[in-house]
Amino acid sequence: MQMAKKIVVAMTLCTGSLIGCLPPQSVEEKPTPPDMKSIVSAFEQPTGSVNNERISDAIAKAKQMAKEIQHSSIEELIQDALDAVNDGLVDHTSNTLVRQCIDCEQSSTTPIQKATRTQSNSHGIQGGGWFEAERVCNGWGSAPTPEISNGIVRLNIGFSADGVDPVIWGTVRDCKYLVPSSPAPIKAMLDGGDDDVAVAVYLGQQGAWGQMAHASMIVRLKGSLTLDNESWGLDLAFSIVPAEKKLSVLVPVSDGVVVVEIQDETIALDAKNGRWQCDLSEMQCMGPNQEILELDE
Amino acid sequence: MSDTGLTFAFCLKHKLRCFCCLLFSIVVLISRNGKAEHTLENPITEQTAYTKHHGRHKIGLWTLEAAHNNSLTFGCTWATYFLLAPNAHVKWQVVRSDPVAFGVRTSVLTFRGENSSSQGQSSKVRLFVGSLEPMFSWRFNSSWTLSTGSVLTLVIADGDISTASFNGVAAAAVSNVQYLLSAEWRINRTVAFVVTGRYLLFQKAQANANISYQPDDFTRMTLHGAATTSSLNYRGAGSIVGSVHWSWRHIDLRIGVGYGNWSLPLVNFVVEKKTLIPDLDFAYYF
Repeated sequence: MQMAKKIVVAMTLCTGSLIGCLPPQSVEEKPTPPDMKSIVSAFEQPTGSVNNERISDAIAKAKQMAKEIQHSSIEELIQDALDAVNDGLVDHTSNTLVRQCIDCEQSSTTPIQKATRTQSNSHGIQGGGWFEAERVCNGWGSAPTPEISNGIVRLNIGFSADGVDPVIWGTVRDCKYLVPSSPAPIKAMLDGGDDDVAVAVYLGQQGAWGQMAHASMIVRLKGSLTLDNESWGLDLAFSIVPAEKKLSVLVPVSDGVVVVEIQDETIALDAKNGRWQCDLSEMQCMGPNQEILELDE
Repeated sequence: MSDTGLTFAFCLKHKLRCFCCLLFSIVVLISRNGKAEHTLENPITEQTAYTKHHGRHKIGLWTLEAAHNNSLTFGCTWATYFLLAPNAHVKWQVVRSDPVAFGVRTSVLTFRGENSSSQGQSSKVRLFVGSLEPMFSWRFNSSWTLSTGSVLTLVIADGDISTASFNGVAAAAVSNVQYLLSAEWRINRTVAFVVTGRYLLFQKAQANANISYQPDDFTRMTLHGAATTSSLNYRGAGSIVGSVHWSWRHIDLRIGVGYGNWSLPLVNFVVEKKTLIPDLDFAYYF
């Protein structure tokens, strides 16, 4: 019995001292991104339908939203922020620890390892984390200046061993920037208010580093926009395909939502009752079964 | 014909066996002039549950040890002190009831480093290594002892760095568990052959970091990351080392060689590549 007690005491003391010296566990818990499922689902399978009564209104709303997005250069603002973040993640000088960390994640050592790469990556690394990116806005000066008074866009970019997480999100605080216009640029200011999720960007399935700014994305934006002292509220959901210069907006209709796609001068509408191609010169839209809906003047 | 004559006749046919036989003979011859020391009162303590008796202190090639009493020995690896990495170990022969014994050895090593430059760059690193080795020994008879146990090791490193481009803190830890099996064959009271086998049960690493950097004047990035990897958990990693251990009244000498995945001394980190493993120790006891 004495022997057993001694053994127990010995093991307890030694094990306890080792456990007490364990390193701190992982850093603070990774923040939870906003749920974009309903918006993504709406773009993939619109819940609303169109008919002669609804289609004109839907297209008018879509054109107004597209005008707000294009005239306020929100699309460029978001892409500029993602470009800067992308550069900070991937193209920054190679001697930073972060670049080395990314390189060690991306590289595979042998052709066999590359060929047999499993979902959880070839190095057997599990883990992840997130980046907090702060981007100072350009301001209203003749040249962009990195001053806090110009406002800040803050983004959270989660990642794992498999790549970038599908959703990037963040806040926008009094972001001042100039919108190119003639005869003079327009002073714009975008503000997300106190909302912790003023902007959320869905990138699709987990993507590779270096492709964020050029990937197709779905953007959710809430806040207020001021253009030359004229302000209005924003509550937009739109999709961008940069390579095709295609913009799609989610438009509410009486029985759900439809997706209106604007590419150059063409408009297409995805609804529960099919895809409608619209010819604005003819003021009509043709449905999947060749049926025609007339647009109002 | 004497045994020695038969031995040489046999060896003439097989060169390698001849060399081994010659070596064996030299080992035995050396021992004949030594005082008897492989005894119940003075067993081999490396990779066994045993400790030296009270008053038997050691100045070794690698370690210094002092036997506080018959069951407690304190010591350290002196060379690391020159690298500003103090360490200490304690071995406790928890119970000994011949022919069996149980003991535990624990060790600690720390290191702190700091570096700064005129360009405003600075870095600090801290290293901690802790190990725990419970061992069980069974002395079959006057010639044989079998010992078995395990080695649990934890290596923790953390540091912070500040440069013009970025600053941050990071920490990493590697932990492993190895299984040990040692067989001791006492040829006579001076010479013993010892074969020690190790097997890596698992080895893993984890790390976390918080690093801030500014890629341009408009952008600031902060990384919060954590990762674990099992890629250090080499399958079938182990080693076997055979040694000859001479023990005289005041001097112990151990020479051996083995093969396998080397377990780096002090940190007990098992390397992936299999290599030859030398074993050398010399100690003076007073």
